[in-house]
Amino acid sequence: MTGLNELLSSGRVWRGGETLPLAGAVATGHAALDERLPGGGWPGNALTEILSETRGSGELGLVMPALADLSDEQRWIAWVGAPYLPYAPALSEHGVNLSRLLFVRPREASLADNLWVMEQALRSATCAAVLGWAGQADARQLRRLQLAAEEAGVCCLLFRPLRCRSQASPAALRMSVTPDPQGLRIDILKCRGARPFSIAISRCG
Amino acid sequence: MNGPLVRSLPLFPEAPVESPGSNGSASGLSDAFRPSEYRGATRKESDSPEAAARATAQRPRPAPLWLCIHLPALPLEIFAPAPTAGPLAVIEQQGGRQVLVALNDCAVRHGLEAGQPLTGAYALAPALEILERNPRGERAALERLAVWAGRFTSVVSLQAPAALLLEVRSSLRLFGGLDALRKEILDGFGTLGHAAERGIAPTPLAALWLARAGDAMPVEEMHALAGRLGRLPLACLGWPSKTEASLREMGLRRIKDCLRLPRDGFARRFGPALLGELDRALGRSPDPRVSYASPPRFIGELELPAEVCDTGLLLEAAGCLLDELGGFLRARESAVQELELEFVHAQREVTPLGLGLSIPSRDAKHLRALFAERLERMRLPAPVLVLRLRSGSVRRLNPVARPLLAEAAAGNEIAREALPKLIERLRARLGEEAVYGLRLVSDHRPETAWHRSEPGGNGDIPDFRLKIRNVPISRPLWMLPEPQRLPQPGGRPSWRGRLGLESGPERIETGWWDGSDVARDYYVAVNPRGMRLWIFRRRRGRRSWYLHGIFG
Repeated sequence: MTGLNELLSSGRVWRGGETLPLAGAVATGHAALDERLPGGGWPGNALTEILSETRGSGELGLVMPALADLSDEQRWIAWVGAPYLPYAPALSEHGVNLSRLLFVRPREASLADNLWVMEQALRSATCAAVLGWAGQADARQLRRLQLAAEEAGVCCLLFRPLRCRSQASPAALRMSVTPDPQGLRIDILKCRGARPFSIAISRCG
Repeated sequence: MNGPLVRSLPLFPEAPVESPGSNGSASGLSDAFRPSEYRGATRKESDSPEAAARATAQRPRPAPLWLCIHLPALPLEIFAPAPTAGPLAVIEQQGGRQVLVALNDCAVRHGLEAGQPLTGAYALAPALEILERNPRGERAALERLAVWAGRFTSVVSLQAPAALLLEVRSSLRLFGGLDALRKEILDGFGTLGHAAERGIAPTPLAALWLARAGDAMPVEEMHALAGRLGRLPLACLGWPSKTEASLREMGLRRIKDCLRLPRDGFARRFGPALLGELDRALGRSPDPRVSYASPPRFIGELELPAEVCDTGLLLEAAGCLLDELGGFLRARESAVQELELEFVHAQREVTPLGLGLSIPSRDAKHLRALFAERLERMRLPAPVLVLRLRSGSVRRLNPVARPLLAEAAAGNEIAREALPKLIERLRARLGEEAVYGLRLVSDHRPETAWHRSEPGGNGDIPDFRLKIRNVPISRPLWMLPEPQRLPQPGGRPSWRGRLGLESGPERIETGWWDGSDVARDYYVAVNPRGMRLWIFRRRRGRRSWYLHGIFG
C-alpha cells in the first residue's frame, strides 16, 4: 500500500479519471467529433498535431468548419509554410472570410523560418489560429510551439506526415487522418483529458 | 545714518535669520522688493467683495513647479556603451593640466574622484582608461534628452552643461500626481542609460540647486523654499571656484550664510549677477525660461567608444537612439514612416540601413525589433565608429478616441496596430513577397479566379461567401502552381495509383478574349489511397489529362 501511495505521489503516474479543464476550445464543426473531444473541439490554447500519410488526405478539409467560424472574428488566421497554393474560391466555398487570412510562405522555406514565423504569429496576440506545416520539427521545437500557444491562448494546428507518429510530442491533441470511401477515419493518438479513440466522419471537402 | 542702516539689512528676511533686531525693519523693504505674482499673498486681499469678484473673474494661474534633472555623469554617459569594465574616466584640460571630470563606478572604487588631476589618478589606478571630454556631444545629448522629456511637459528648458528643467505643475494631474510623474521620469532616464539626480522646487534655480546637492525631497510651496535652500552647501550653486573660495574664507558654508549678508555689500563684492541668481532662486524676481524647441526631423548620433563589429552591441546602441526617437515623436504627437540607420566607419563610406514601415510608427520597441532582424542579415564591411539615426519626415498622428470599455479597446487596438507590426516583422526577415493575403477575382478560369493581395484587404470585389452546408464543395482547397500532366498507362489517368472518376465533367471554356483561353472538362477523381483530386482533360489539341488541385 505504501508502495502504491509513493508511486502516486511521485507524479509519474497519470490517472485516467483526472480531466483538465480546457478553456476556449474551438468547435470542430463535426458533431460526432466534438462530442468525444474534451472541451468540445480543437484545444483553444494548445498545440494540435494532425498526421496524414500524404498531403491532401482530407486533413485541411477537417479543420475548415472551425476556420470558417474563427474567420468571423476580428483576429487573424495565419497559414505558415503551406505546401501548395491555398485556393481562394474553395476557401470561400467553405465559408472562410478571406480578409482574415494571412499567408506566410518564405521563398526558400526552411524549417527554422517556418517555426519562427509560427511562434511570432502565436505570440503577437493578433491571431485566432495558426496553421503550420512542419514535418521535420523535433520534440524541442514542438515544445516551444506548445508553450507559445499555451501562453498566448491561441489554437495552433500543425500538419505533419504520418511517419512522425512514433516521435514523442508535447501536443495536447494528436490525431492521424486517413481517407476512406465515406469520408475520413480519425484516430486520436493522444488527447489531454481523454483516452485515445477512433471515429469516422463524413466528408466535407 | 538711516540710509546705510536700511541697506545693510539682511538680504532675505524670510530666511531663517537668527540675528535679532534686524527682522522688524526688514519686512517693509522686502515687501516692496517682492513681485506679488510670486507670493501666495493674493488670497489675503479677497476679504473685500470686489477683490473676491476679481479673483474669480481672472483665476490666478497656479504657481509653477519645476523639476530639475541633473545628469552628473553625462560626460561619461555619452560614450555608451562603456568600452571597458575597468576604471574609466573622462578628462578635460583645466588650466594647463588634465583633470578628471566624470568617472565610472569602478574608478570610484579605486579611490578616484572628480576634479582630481590625471597624474595623481594614475598613481591610484594604473589601469585607468581615459576619454577626452566632448562638450559638443554633451550638448547634443542634452538637446536630445530635452526633446525626449517633451513627453512629460510642454516646457522643457536646457540648463547647460548637464541639466534639464521641466515645468511639471500642469502635468501633475495627467500623470497621477507628483510621485508618479517623478518616478516615470526617472525610470525613463534610467532606461536611456542616464543616472539622474532630481530636485523639485517652485523656481527653476532652486530645483537645479536641490538636484545638484542630491536633495530629492520636493519643495512644493514657496514659503518653505528659503528654509530648505538655506541648508544646501555652497558647492551646489555652481558659482566660479574663486567666488566659492572667498565665501569659504569668510566662514560661510551654506546658502543660508549667504542670505544673511547685506545686499549691497554682497553685490559690490561678488557682482550683481550672483545676487540676481539668489533673488531668482527664491522667487523674488521672475526667472523666465525658454522652452527648448527641437528640429522637425530627428537626427541622433551615438559615438561608440571603440570600433564595434558585434551586431549585439550595435543593436544595443541603436536601441538607445530609437528610445530617444520615441520620445521625440511622442512630444509631437507624431510618427515616422521612414528611418535610416547609418554606420560610420573609420576609412570607408557610410553603410546605410533603411527601413520603411507600412504604417507610421513611434514605438521604439517595435522599431528596434525590425532593425534587429535587418541587422542580423546584414554584413558590415568594416567596424563601426559612429551610429547615426535619421528619421524621414515626421507625420502627425490622428488622435484616436478610445472606446470606454477596455475589451472593445483591445479588439480595436489589435486590428489597428498589432497586425501591421506582425507583418512588418515577418517581412523584415523573409522579404516582402513572403507575406500575403488572398482575394477572389470574378473569373471562371481556375488559375485567375484569385489573386494575391495585401493581408486584410478585401480587394476590389466584395468577398462573396457561399456557405451552404451539405452541398458538395466544387473546388479543391489546394491548387498546384501549374497543372501537372498525368501519366496515362492504358489510356486512363493515374496519380499514385489508377484514378477513378467520382463526378464530372464540369466544362470550363472561356478566356478567348485575352489570349489565355482554356477549354477543359474538370472531374473529381479518387486514387487508391482515397485522395480526392481535381483533374481535367483538355478539349483541344492532345486530349491529355492534367492534375490541377487536391481537395485536401
